[in-house]
Amino acid sequence: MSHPRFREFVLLIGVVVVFVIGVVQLGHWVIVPFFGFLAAFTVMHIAVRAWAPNADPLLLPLAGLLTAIGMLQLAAIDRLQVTAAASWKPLAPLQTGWLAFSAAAFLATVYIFRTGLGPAWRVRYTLALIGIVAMVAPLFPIIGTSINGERLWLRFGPLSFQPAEATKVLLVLFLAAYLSERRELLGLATRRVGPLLLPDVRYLAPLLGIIGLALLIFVRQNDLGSSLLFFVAFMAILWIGSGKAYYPVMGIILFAIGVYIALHAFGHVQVRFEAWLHPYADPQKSGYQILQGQYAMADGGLSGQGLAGPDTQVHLIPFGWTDLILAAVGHTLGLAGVLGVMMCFVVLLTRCFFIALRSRSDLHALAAAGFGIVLGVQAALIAAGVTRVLPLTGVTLPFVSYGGSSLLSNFVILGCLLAISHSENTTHLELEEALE
Amino acid sequence: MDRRIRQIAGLITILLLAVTVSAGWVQGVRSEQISSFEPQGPNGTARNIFRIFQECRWRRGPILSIDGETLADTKRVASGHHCIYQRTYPSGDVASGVVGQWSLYFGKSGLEAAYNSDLVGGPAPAKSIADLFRARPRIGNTVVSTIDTRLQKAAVDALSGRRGGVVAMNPKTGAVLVAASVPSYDPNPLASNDRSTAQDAECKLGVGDELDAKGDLKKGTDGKPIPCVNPQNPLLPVALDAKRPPGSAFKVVTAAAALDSGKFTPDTGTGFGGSYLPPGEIPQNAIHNFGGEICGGSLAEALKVSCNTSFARVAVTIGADQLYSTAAAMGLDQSQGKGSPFIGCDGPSLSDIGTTFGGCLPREITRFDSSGKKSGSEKLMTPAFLGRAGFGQWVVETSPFGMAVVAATVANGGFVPRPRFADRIIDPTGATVRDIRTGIGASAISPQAAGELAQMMRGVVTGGTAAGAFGGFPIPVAGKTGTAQAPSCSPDEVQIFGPGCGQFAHAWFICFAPVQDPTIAVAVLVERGGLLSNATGGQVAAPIARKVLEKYFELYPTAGSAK
Repeated sequence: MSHPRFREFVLLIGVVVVFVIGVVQLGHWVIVPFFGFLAAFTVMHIAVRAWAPNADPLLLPLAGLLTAIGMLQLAAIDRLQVTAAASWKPLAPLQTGWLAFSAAAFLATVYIFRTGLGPAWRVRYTLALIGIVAMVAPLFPIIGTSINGERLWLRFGPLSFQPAEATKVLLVLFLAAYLSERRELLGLATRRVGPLLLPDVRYLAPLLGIIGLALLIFVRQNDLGSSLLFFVAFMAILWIGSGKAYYPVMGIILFAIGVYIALHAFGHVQVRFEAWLHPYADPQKSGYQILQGQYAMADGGLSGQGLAGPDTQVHLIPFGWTDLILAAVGHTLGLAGVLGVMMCFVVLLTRCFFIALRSRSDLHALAAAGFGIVLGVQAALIAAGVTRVLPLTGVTLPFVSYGGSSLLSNFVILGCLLAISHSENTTHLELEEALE
Repeated sequence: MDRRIRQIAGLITILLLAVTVSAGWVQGVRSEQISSFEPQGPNGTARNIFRIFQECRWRRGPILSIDGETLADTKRVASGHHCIYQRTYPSGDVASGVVGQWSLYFGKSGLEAAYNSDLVGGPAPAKSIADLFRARPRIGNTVVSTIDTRLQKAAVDALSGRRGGVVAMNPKTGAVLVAASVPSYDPNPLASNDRSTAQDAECKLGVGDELDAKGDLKKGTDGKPIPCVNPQNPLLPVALDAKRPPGSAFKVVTAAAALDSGKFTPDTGTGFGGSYLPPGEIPQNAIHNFGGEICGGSLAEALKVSCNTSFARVAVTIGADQLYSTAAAMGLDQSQGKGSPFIGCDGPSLSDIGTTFGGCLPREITRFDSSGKKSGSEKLMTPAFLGRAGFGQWVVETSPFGMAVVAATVANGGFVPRPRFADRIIDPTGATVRDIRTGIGASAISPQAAGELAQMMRGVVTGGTAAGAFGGFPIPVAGKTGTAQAPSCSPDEVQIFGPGCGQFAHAWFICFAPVQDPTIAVAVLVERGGLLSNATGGQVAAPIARKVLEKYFELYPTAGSAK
């Protein structure tokens, strides 16, 4: 059997070939991003060879393919937008810069966790604290700014950063550490209230506290997408960790109450709901994004208008570089492109859960499953929003959308997954050797 | 734990698969339908901004008039621009209210919007196997409109610059021959592929905000954008979109309701006098004839001399329900939208089957305070209101189009025609793709009532208020004049007509001919056409209708010979 790193190398060559096809179409708009991409993934591949040689061979190429498709979309938008709007700053080169930072963060993550998530376990409460402080930070003046009416950005000079993306990673690590330590207790220590078996308050309170705080802040910051993502993802992790049907049941009840309250208390939630059900009722305002996304995809058809085709109008998609990038993929690469992206996510998730199932340590199993859930739920939320399966909520499509904080945190997640995979595979290999 | 991980993984995968199914639906199964579905709603039109930039690269089909004039065409533009074609309107402002325009920047309207999928056409034939898998340019079909430009020009000439509208239609087929409005506009600059040309033209028509030379929004002293203003609102053609009280022309509707109710025949008396106090009303609410005139007599006599007190009495006698149901059946629908009592009383739809004819007859007025909240409503069912509605005053409002449908209904034996603005679709080789036939509509009044009413309207032309205008006209015409008071003027009207505009009445005339076998029904409105007097409709509007009819029977001589 060939070595996993060799398979990874071959798959990465395939990804580069896909990128080259895009370069042929888009020309100089994507030359800098291409070489940046090549350099970043070469370095990451070498680092994995050095520090995580036994890691899963599919993860890095899958992330690479998604990143490449995203960068090609950005370049296709740049090409049209530069002539349409004089003030447009090309996004593809910026994303290349973010990819460089992300690759560095990936290297650091793989190096720190090369023998497992132990270092994270030791500082689990610190991680939770940092995560919560990061989430609250945009509410404070001077460093916090609002963009598009959502106050969830930190501004340092010219750079703005969305700390919720970091919180996402930190809280998954914390939950995995916390649950792996106490999941027996959470599962067993119950108290009978009428017909219900409830876990002891002492073990439940910190968890519910974190989730409640997270949701409260996100409602305050007007960020429905992340709020939904946190809620769904953490309920799922909690259920996997504890095995009590109580969590999903309570989760669904709380969720229903939350949706009811949100629909009545928050105008923007109601507007999004309306836009989902009746996009044609207000086609120029609330229904605009969703409708233009649909039109963009419909005009892409089966094979797409091409990245630089004569009828390509990908720059007209509102937020086509972030929230609606799947519509951009559908417009330029057609149904084939959308199916490709969705298959990448399905395989990526499968690998995450496969790593979780193979893990002998609860910490690793919960972390790998948790990261899979966060990536999967986020991808599903925004993809379902764009295709009108669910109301549109503003989250990025992992690895594909433009955005520094998003790319950075997703590559940190990727690093964690590779490190977990490597340390678990190493244990397996050692066990097999011992048995032989 | 493993089982639960698998379950969660399965759930997320199902959601992702649902996304792929939905994407397949949008991009595969229904892509063409979704691309071309651009419905018009109360909050604006859904515009496919991707499609319109493709459409300018396809050869869009022309729009012709029934007499063979080119109303809209497509020309190639210089290479180097994204677009290959630009829309041109060789007939300029003659029929712009019906044809509408195709604009890269402001979307589509009129026939351009209603028959867009025909004008866009289907994909060009594939020349190779590879062509089957890529998007091919399209070649549009031709829309032949029912508009006759010769008649249309005659109507515009007859209006001679006075603000107003003329509509003529075939009562049997619903084909609209004339929908002429003053003011009109030239759609050519709006359809320009050059953004600043198009925006300048749009601003001159009173839409959008003012822009500076660089194309950026101009800011006023308060820092807000300056909206473009044109009190004439040429983009809302008077013929189709006016909302004016029809005055005595509405007596045709009241008479139709009266005859159809069975309570009246043409010979039934309607009282005689100079004023009428509806039962249960205080004396201040009494209804007087204009200038203290004393009139009345039989229903036919009252229509002939256009006696207000008689028709107030008729309306109160037959009751609100009868009047409303007949008016609504004739297309003067009383739909109401939010915000204003009259929003929702829209102009006609130009697609195959125009179901909203544009007229307003609200049962109640909802009042709104300054913040837009509902502050109360007022029932308009009191006898004093009903009496005034009986002669087309108070809150009754409609357009020449709405009144043309009323005239055509009487001409058509009580059956409401289904108006249409297009006759057929032909492909580039000239073969007919499909004929547009809307069929006969529902019956609004009985054929007997319609026949009696036609004879009564004939009396108006032979010996009544329109006798002067139609003296010596060789073909028998039936009609009704209207002189509608509107003492309060809108700010736009003050700009157009001056501060004393309330003294001027809207002049109306509706008619059809020949009486025995009508082939044309006409409605004319001249806004603020003359000083308030009983004769204004007959003196100002009826001669315009006569000129249109003269031209019509000159062009279609066989249409004038009764069978």
